[in-house]
Amino acid sequence: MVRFLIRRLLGGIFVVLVVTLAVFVLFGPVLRWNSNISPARLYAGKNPSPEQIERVSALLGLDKPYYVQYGYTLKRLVLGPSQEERERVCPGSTAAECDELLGRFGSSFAKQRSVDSLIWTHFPVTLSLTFVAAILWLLISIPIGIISAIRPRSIFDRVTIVFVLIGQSLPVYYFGLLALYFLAYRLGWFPLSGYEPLSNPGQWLYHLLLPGLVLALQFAAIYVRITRSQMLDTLSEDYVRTARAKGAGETRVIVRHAFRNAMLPIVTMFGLDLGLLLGGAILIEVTFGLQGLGWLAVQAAQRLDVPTTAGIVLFSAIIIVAANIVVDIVNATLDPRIRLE
Amino acid sequence: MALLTVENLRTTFRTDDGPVGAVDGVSLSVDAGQVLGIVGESGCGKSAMSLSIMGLLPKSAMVEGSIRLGDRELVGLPGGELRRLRGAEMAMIFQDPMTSLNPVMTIGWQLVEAVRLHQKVSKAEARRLAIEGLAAVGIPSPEDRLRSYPLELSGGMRQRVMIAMALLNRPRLLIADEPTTALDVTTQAQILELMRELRREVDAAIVLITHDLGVVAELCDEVAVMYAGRVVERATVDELFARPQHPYTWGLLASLPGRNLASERLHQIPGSPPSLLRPPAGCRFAARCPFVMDVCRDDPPPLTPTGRGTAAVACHLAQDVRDREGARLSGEERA
Ligand SMILES: Nc1ncnc2c1ncn2[C@@H]1O[C@H](COP(=O)(O)OP(=O)(O)O)[C@@H](O)[C@H]1O
Ligand SMILES: [Mg+2]
Repeated sequence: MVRFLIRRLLGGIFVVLVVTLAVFVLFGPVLRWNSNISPARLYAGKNPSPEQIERVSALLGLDKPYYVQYGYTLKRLVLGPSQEERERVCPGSTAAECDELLGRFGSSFAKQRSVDSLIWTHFPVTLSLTFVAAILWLLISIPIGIISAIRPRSIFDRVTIVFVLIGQSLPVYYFGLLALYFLAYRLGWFPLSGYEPLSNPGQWLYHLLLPGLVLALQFAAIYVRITRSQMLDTLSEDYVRTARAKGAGETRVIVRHAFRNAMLPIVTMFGLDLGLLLGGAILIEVTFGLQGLGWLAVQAAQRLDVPTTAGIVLFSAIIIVAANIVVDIVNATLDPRIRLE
Repeated sequence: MALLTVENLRTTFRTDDGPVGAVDGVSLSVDAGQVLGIVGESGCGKSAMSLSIMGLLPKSAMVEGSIRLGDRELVGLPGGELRRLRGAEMAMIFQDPMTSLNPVMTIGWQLVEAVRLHQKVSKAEARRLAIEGLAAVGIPSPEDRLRSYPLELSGGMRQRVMIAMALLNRPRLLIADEPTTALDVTTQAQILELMRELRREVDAAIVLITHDLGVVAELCDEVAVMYAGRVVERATVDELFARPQHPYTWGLLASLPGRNLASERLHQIPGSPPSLLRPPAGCRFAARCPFVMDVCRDDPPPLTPTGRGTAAVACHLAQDVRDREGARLSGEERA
């Protein structure tokens, strides 16, 4: 088990390394060749003189060879900004002021802030949205999927399948706009947009419920389908028959024996979906005016804020890799066949 | 009085192609302490019959007739009452030990569950019973095994666990559905040996399902030979081997491995059992029977006592023909 963990961790670190390289190349050299965007030009303000650009280039360390820049990017990602960079970029500032400006992911072109602080400002919104949506979609889909599987071809099952098809084919932005128009605008049951921090839990939930529900319904459709098919598979397994032969009641057979086995692939999918969503649910965030990571990414891209965009991409990648590792660990604890391999 | 009495049992599966009569009018009984063997090729309805007794069939199955455990009628019993009997009064061992245990739960968890579903005892007491049960079926260091998962055990060990689990609540009826079929030959022998020992120790009535007459010879008191959902011959083991009466039984006997060929034409029964979706009108074995007569194709022969003890056979052949052919076959075998 420990060896398994170490192997997974090393694998994860390797993937993150590859991603950093890809992000560096794509948002550095490639972007510059391709669209002639010089970071220094963007950073230096409107119509800078060549001297200004040169000065900014030096300030940002862009005059160094690429491999030195990449090496420093990596080092900064792991250890934080170096003393040398602090002195170069924010001479004469206090440490706290400098921390606002410099971070592991670099500094925004558009705002006088580090990408880190931008991410940490907007990430809680995405985290909250994902959390609310995930709870909702599990609560909706697991019971429905199980009941459908217990009574295949029943009216309940047939109605469920129709809703699954609708849920899967409705584009989330369209569905989101419909919900917003009718439930929030016409009926006034929900706020039209915005986010309230968790310090006021009631308002927090009130603002997240509608976007969470719209997001959840889309996922619920998929999760109903997989729960149903997994349960149908496990319910016909020999060990379920053994459980019945022992005299276990139907609820016990379904929950402790069938679902306990059926949930393994669902847990995997859930972990991966969480990882993806935590990188920002762009459509929902934009539709509902939630200023999360997805929203931030759109803003940054529009303003050609290369470091922020790159930072969000890298941050999301790290979250996805982390989610993968967590999924593996959870799977190993749930399934001895993986643990003992 | 017989512990288990099955009378005119009919088990029908509703399928998309129409009803499948997996068990078609079977009657049999077993006494406490006795082992009844049920033999027949695959697809003859042996499992359908045992699952009917246990009440474990899917909802698509319809069970008619009578199944009595002691003096309690099981057909039509409400689900809750049947559940209380399962695992307590009657228990079952299945064919494939590799898939019959829950892969994500420890052996201990599964055994303790079996105890506590029927006995109001503490976890510690249930654990003690589980250890005792594992020791009784010859599992070494049973205490450590409680922590094992099924995948850590061999097929033979898993089947021992299944047997231990079935016996935990001291059932009065034990049904073993081909308990050795999925195992390799050495392990088969060990499990059979275990069953032989247990047979002496537990006072349960045992129904042992197999497609191997060799197993019957070693373990059973009585035998019922099933073909295409019906019992075609019933006798004590000694009687069956001394004077087998049904041409299908002759075929089974002749195809026993390690025995010298009986009459050539029976060495392997050609063909396969008929579809139970649309079974033939007369004797169901007619299409494969080397002794087939016109009457066989039209009239199903009833199960008729041969006059020797409890033995009965369902065949249109004259008694003297059956006696002669049967005696020739078992004589050749002994030679
Ligand atoms: N769940 C089921 N649905 C439909 N038909 C079934 C089902 N289970 C068994 N059968 C049919 O019933 C017949 C007897 O099967 P089974 O009892 O498993 O035979 P055996 O155990 O003797 O090999 C076979 O023809 C089989 O196809
Ligand atoms: Mg079978």
